Amino acid sequence: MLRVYILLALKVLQRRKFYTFISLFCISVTLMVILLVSSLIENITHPPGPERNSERFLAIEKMSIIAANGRSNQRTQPGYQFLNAVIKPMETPELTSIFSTRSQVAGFRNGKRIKSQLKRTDSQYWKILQFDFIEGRPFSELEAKQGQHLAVISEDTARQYFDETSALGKSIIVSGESYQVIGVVANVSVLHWNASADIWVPLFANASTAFTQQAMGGFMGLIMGKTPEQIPAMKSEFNKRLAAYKHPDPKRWPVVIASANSKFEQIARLFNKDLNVPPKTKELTIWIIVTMVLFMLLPTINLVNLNISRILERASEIGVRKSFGARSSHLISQFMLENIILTCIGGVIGFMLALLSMYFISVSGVVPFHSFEINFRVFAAAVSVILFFGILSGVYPAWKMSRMNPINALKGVI
Amino acid sequence: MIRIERVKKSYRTDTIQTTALNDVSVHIKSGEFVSIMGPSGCGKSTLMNMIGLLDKPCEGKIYIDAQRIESYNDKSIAPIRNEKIGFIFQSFHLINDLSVLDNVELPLLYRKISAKERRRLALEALDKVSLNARAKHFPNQLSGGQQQRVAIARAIVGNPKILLADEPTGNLDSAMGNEIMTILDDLNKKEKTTIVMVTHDDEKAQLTERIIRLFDGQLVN
Repeated sequence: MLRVYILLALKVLQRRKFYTFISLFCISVTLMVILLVSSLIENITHPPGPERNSERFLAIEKMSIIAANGRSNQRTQPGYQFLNAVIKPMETPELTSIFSTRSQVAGFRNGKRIKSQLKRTDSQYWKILQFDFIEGRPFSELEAKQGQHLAVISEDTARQYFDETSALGKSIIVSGESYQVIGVVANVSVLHWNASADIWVPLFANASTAFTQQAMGGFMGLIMGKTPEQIPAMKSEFNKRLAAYKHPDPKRWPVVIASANSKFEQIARLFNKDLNVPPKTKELTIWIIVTMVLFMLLPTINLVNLNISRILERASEIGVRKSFGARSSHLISQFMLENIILTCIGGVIGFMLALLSMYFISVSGVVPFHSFEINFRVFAAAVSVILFFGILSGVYPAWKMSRMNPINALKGVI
Repeated sequence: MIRIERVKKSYRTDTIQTTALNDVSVHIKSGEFVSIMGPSGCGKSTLMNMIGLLDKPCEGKIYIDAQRIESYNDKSIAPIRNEKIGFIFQSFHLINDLSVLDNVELPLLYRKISAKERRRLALEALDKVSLNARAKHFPNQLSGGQQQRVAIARAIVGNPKILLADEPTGNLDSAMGNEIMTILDDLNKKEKTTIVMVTHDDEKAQLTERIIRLFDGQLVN
């Protein structure tokens, strides 16, 4: 029975090639877009590369202070002083790290300017974030504390300064300071902003230590537990220590607000800047799902229409099948199977298109150093999309078909 | 075998009501070869559809094998159609995308039969209409007469007790028509299949055991 149905499905697809083309086009383009978007979301929320432990860590990347009169407030990145006072003494995290946000620096090679993004970090940074070292090593706790002029650079930066030769032991001069390269790491996508940079140098390799007194600006913190289950405990300890924290100018700024956010919460924060309210992760999830469903609904409605007109062409077959004892359920399952075969073919094409466009996006450098990946979760999303299409666009036409009066169907009167 | 008792059927459109059958009673015995005749629009096809359980009467009773079935729903009627009745249509109604063999197998798809057994029964049915050699062909590669023979093979593959033929020779020339009549006659004589045939052709009707004549939805005797 299955063989006959599959055979018939393939024959029907060959019958009206333009219809088949439109159906396959709808399915494959939609699937391609969904795959690209879900791969991007997946990549940000469950990042591979250095941020691969993101399920275990929380980031403190924004804070705001409110004046006593409640009228003025400031909102920016946390400062070293704040992070040092709040996260460094924390007991629930296994590791805590303070590092600067990216700043643009310039270096020169043969008179040519090389622009790079620089981060100043402590040594624990290298333990929380799992960089892939192509050569060399990160700086140690002692080296970081002493503020030695050492640097870890990205593969791309190494190529810009030293071509294909090893960068280890060589010096780079950025913004007037010379650093000895001790490690080269694989490039990091700009979308993984906790890790992303071109050059990483020790926090204290800085002429001035004035930053240690500043409560606000220029820094980020990461706190990492042993397991993802420790996240709630880390959050609650963070909030407790935040409540106890006093701004260096407490009379002027009595209220300090900040939050420790997971990767998904960090993204939700992009859409909801008020630190007073928790990140709207639920709303973001619903928004993503609704947008995707709406995006899929339009081609589905189109497919339903195409399917109905295809079915009506087969009225005689339906009449014959009913006359010879096919029940409605037989006809529904036959048509659903045919439709799932069609969507599977579209799915395979869409999958290939997605892989192709992912490759081109990676190569084009639209998103610097970002390489798309299709993992199990993205694949599962793709399969659900195919089933969504197959079932939703097939069920109504199949039901309509099964209800056809056999006499009218045989006469071709619908 | 088939008993139709005081059946009435009328169709209603927005403006008019047409009576297709008016108080028709027919009794067809097992093994009979009966033809239904009458002018166009007299209710022949409606009567045929009632017997074939494709249509339901407005009033009256229908018995098949002493089983009263006019009030059965679609789900309960489907297995009766599948097991007891075989249809032959004027315009063959073969599925052009399927091979002759797959077309003949069609009624067996709705029974719990293995693929191997389906194939065997289909080849056996094709043998009865002398078309085994064409099993792998597609309907549009065959002549009209051959297509109708495939349709007969499809109708008899499930070994039904009743064959309903709606103008089976209507689309064929006389030689092919005679060929089809011979096959139907053989099925009736050798296999004892009950055959009800709608026809316009008096000559073909004379070949059957009994003629039921209809006029304006009523029996004429």
